[in-house]
Amino acid sequence: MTASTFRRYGLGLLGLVLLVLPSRLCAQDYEVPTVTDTYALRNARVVQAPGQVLESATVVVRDGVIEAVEENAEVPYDARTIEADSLVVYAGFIDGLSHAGVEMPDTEDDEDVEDPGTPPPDAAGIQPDRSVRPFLSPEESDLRSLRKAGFTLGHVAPEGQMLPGASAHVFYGGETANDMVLETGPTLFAQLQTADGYVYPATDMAVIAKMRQLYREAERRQQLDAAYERNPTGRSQPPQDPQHSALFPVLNGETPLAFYADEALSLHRILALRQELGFPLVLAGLEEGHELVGTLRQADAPLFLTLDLPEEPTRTSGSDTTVADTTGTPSRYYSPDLQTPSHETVAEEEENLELRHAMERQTYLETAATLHEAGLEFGFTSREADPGDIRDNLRTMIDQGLPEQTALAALTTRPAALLGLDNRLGTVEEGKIANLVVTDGPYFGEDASVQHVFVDGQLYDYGADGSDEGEVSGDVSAVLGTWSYTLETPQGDLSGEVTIEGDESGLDGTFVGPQGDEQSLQSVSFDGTTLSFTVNSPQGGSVSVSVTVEGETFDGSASTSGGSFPISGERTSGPDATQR
Amino acid sequence: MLSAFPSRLSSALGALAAVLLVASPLQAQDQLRGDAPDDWLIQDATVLTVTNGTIENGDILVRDGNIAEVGTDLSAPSGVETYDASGEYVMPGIIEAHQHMAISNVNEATNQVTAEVGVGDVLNPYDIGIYRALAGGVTTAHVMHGSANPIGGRNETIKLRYGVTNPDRLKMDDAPRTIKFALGENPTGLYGEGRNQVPGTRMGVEQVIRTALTEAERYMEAKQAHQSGERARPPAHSERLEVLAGVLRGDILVQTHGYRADELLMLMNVFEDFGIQDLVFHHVNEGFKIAPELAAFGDDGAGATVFSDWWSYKFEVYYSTAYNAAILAENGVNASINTDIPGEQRDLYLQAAKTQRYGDLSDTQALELITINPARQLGIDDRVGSIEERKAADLAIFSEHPLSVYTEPQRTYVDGVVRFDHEEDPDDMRLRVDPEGTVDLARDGWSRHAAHSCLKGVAQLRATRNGVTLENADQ
Repeated sequence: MTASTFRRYGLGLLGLVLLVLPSRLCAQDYEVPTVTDTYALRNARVVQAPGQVLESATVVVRDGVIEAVEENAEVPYDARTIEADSLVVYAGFIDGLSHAGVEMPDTEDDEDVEDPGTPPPDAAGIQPDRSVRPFLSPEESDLRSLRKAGFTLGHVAPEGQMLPGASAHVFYGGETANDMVLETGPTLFAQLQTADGYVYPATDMAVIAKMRQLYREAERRQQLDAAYERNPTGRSQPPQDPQHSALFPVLNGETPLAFYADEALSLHRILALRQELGFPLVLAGLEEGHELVGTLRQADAPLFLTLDLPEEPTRTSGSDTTVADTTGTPSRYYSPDLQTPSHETVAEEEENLELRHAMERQTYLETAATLHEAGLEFGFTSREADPGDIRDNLRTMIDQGLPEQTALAALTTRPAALLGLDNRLGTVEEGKIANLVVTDGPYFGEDASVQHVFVDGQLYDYGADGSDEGEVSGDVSAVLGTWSYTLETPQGDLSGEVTIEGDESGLDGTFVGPQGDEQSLQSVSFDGTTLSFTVNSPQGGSVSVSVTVEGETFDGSASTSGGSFPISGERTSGPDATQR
Repeated sequence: MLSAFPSRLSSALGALAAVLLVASPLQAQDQLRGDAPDDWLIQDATVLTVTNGTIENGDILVRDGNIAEVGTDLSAPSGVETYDASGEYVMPGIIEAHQHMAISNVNEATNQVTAEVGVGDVLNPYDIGIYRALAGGVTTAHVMHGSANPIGGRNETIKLRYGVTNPDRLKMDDAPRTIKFALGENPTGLYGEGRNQVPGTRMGVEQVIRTALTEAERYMEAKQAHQSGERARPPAHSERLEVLAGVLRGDILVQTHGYRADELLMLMNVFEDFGIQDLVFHHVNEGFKIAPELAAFGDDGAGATVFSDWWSYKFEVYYSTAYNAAILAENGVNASINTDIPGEQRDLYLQAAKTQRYGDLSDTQALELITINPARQLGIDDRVGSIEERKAADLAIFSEHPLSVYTEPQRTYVDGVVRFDHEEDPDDMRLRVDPEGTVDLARDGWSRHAAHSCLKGVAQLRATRNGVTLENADQ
């Protein structure tokens, strides 16, 4: 079995087996054909790129790649078809910088550093030789939430302090960490972040000094290496360590330092350091980017703006807690010239300061628009944002003057270009990686919700309103009740029970495994003949079951994205059974 | 006077600002951020030049931010704003030789020697303290690394261009680089008592400094040997030793925190051994004991920048006198007065005036303590520190003589730009506010414990009935 078939079949099957089998049987692989890796989104409104829309086209996805995007594209015989005439297809969103899918090991807090003035590299946060790759997990919760918001790939960095390590371009999906990686090492992540505890560097100024030190010494070592390589005979070996060596690609201009910073002061400091040392730079965060638009324009670096916005401030004055009115048209305006004559008139001052506060907050809401108006092209970063707030925040940015097409570009084409991935990602075009977001209306609209997300050709289903409800039509009494099932696997038959409950407005139920363990059903759909639902395995992964109901029996398949098994069942109790 | 400032709409404020502009122009902030004029004719003032006597009914012509002409009955060229200063006094902008405002970090208190760090890398132009200093006639400040380490980081000489937000624009171009050294109880308390490390004693402080300077000598020798071909490879790059090599070469001026006469003498001996000529002592509470020795150091003497009358906040500063500045000045020491603590930078003119009560200094001598003398200590006296043609138009205008207790600062010019105007001094002069933060009212007051200090992040002084204690912040 080759590595790629292992990835495609073996691990998908593993998920299914994990669900239904006792754990002792888990560690085996089977070469079983998948149900399908081919999908067709029929007659969808396809936003291929911002401003480039096909009103009704079919998107065919095969083996992780977009095979066709055109009107009346032929639906392959083996495709799972999604009738998409009420849906909108966008290119999967790209996250300019995050820690999604990253699970760093717990570090021991109270590890004493013998000499805090000259700590070992790890304690100082100097780990550019590290990669994010070993810390990736497809089950990390932010990754799942971001995927549900439409993000399909990110520029993902390890967590840490000043130089936490190399990033990777990571799919926000997959069964295993191996599935997640598109490429490793596009950038080295960096922050003006002090070491933990009373350890050098304990201040920003020391972090900056240490960056200089590492950079200049790496330059020296690189020159020594070059001289040694030209003529090693009779010379002692140049000094080397992984931390300095990891910086060589930065010195060569091949690998940028990707800095995250939100505060204007930090951004200035990073840009000053970059001016001094000359490293290639990627800059993410930028919450206060409105403070230094001109400087950012000169910096000419890929920019990723935070999707976080300031919270509504809660004011405490005396015993009253009030929320400042920042919406609509304020009835009073901040007076910058106000001079209150004495402490007696502090109420007037207080009101004025609250108005100033509201005005200042407004500036932050407008940051995206301000950067856009200044001609800066940016993508977005989810790092500081609550995934659940992202769409609201994008809407706010649009309300405050960011053009919708620019917002979409900042989620798709621009990050693809800024990260050097535009030959594979960022648009809905034939030949691109099948990263897609499918909504039931315009993404930035209030009422729309994400219905499906494709990550590297793998389908994730989300029901209406982002909940896990499936679509129900036809006479539901045909499926209500308890069914016993038999699942045929190479290990032999497995059996258990499925209970379907609900009515025309929606179905749900439970799945009882062969060991008696219960899982609730997700996305239960029924159209009069076909019943489908998904069961999430507690060990990770999910199983999609799709069966045809005929009277008191059903027949069909249970599959993961990789493996599939025949399943059949018989109703043991229910409306019809009770009547008998 | 208001019309002198163009009200400029910052595009960043967008639609809301457009409404606000109609309702109430954003003049206060915009005068600072915008392209305010730096051509002025200041008329009919009593001009206290400090270096060239006093001119009654004097005029100062400012062109492109510099003093173009000083005299009487000057006329304003076209396009030059005038300011009628009749009855008022103009003095050179005050220079604060020791402050910790406008910086994000003070101490890198993890290592005894941190010459490689510099507060110039972490300037904070948003600090309202800059405006408060301007409101006291201060135009230049030497913002410093703290005194936790025997050899701390580099300091930065800044011009108080409040309103700029790019930190680099605060820096005074061509000001010599300076570095902080510290003697006595701060380093011994932190490293010795606090962490059981060297230095635990004043002897240890000397040894840390000698060792570091010796390493720097060896570093320079190794680099030299490499350049002349005697050594195959350059030594491992060291940001720290590069800075200390600058100290040895005389490129970087040493500014040393110290109180006691014995340790000041000790450092002068050390510097003589290493051939270091540039030395300014800070605080120097026992300087009055060794004023002739300070004046005799090196070619130009060791400078001393002192508090007017502040002491007894720890053991090594009990032996002190308010006559200190006057004794130093009268003995030929280049002396200045500083305030150190953010929040205290607003009344240096009153601190200088105390030397007339305690020491009978002349008006000019007292003003020198906060103008040309600190300028010389910082190596910037060719640009600032007195009212002379071709110097920067850093000017402080007062309602009365600046050494009078009745005086009020009226206007402060930095490079010819009005950065403080008593007539235009609204309550809210912050450059920004935290959009998620709380509203701070002036009545909430300023807390010394919350402010930066010499030992910010390391320790704080506590005065109680039982005496004064130094407490480490990390304990």
